[in-house]
Amino acid sequence: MPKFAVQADAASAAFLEAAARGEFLIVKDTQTGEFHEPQFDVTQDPERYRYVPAAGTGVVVSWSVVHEKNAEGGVDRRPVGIVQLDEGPWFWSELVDVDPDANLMDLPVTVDFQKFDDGSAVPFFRPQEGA
Amino acid sequence: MAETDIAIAGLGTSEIGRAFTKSSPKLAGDAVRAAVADAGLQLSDVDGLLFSNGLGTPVDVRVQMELGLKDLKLMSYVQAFGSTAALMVGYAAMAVRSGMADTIAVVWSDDPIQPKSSGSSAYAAAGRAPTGFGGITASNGMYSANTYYALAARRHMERFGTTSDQLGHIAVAQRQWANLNPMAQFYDKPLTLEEYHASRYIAEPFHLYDCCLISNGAVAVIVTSLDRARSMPQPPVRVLGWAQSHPGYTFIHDDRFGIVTGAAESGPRALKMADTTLDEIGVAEIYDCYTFTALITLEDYGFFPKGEGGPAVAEPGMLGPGGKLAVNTGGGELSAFYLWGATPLHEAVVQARGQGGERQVANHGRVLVSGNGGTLDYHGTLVLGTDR
Repeated sequence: MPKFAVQADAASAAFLEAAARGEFLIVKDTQTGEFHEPQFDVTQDPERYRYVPAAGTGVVVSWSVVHEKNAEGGVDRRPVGIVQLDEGPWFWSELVDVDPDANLMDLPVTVDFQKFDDGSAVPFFRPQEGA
Repeated sequence: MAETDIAIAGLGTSEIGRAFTKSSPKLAGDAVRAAVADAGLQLSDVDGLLFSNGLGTPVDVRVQMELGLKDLKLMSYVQAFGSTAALMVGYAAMAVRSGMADTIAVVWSDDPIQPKSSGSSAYAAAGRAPTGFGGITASNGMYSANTYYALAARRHMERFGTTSDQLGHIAVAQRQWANLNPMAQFYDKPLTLEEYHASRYIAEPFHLYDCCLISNGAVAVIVTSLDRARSMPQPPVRVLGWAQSHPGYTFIHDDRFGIVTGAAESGPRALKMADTTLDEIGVAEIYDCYTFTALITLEDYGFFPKGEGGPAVAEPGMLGPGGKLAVNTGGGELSAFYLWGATPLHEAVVQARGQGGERQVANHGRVLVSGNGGTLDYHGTLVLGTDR
């Protein structure tokens, strides 16, 4: 699970506000119909580029297992990966509730949100039901 | 009128390693002074200065004052992460060729390790900003280049069947080179493939020995015309070709991520400028922040067909001292020291001069140098060579 709340900056404000209400935004090019990653700068042409809710599903196109020292002096294994969203863009995310020893390539995943006490939320991905 | 031929006439370093006593700008000053002396020059001969730094204390224009340099005709800070050192040499070559300046000091410096901190914490802290999209990625457990590159490597492994064992052969071969290099941080520490596999994981599939060292220090070179270099004490190292390619993959959907890098573009262009073929390259100094970075760059330069680098580097007699392919002959960033693109540049100059001592490669007439920055986002290539 994402471990800490994230302070919004100008580039991430819309994305994080949507995350707090359980929505995962990406950017749509209204001229071409193409989708861009959430980091895409919509301010360059606000008429053309619009935030839209993504389906929130995708597949894993790469993964790693991060080894983190924990407070007890041991090591936690934390799977992370690159998710290719159904709309096409990539999102780099922790992969929760997956087997760190499994081959996670092409695993179907869905977005979830870790909520924090300040009302904010950070998205992450977990396996789709039945995957 | 024929174009001016360019050469590196001086090479200098500061103290390198866990050098706590001086900040990055002071280390830069030490390296420039050493390079100027190595070239048989005085600081007053320097009329151009290009400088850059890593994640530690920034080096800024005050480095001119640090060195007491007067009336410079050229001065700039350059930053394209790990590709910077190669880029700066290319810019210096162009400036000399254009007549803008005659004697240009190029210096790269860093001091990420501070007393009472580990180097890895310095690098991890850089990615742990709890703000914006960088903060979202960090909150999700991805806060260092180790993980970003592990994700790139995994894509190569899945696509081509590349294995950790094959990456381990790169780590072991480079350690063998480092064991011949008194400047290497791992000079007196051999490494076996078994020890590589037994080393702790950092971010799977990367073990500890897939990852580079962390070092404080600075490297400087003096770039001038070949004609002038010939009157100086050191064997001139010709700067024959240079090129850049910056694909810009990070975080954005690009199916080339982990599969092909800017080396595939900048390598052939630099070789063409140098009127050199890959067959003529006797030494390859390849940016190796990770074992995987060396592997993918060797593929992209064409030393091995795409996807076949893994089995090739594991072939007995391919890498390491006496091997078919002389790669990272000082131990590289994995086993000598990690000063970003200044590490391969330094060893390339040593080899091209024929000053490698026990590790000197006989066929050193043409040396290929790579610089790689970001997460395979930025790339620079140099082709260096002996004079005659």
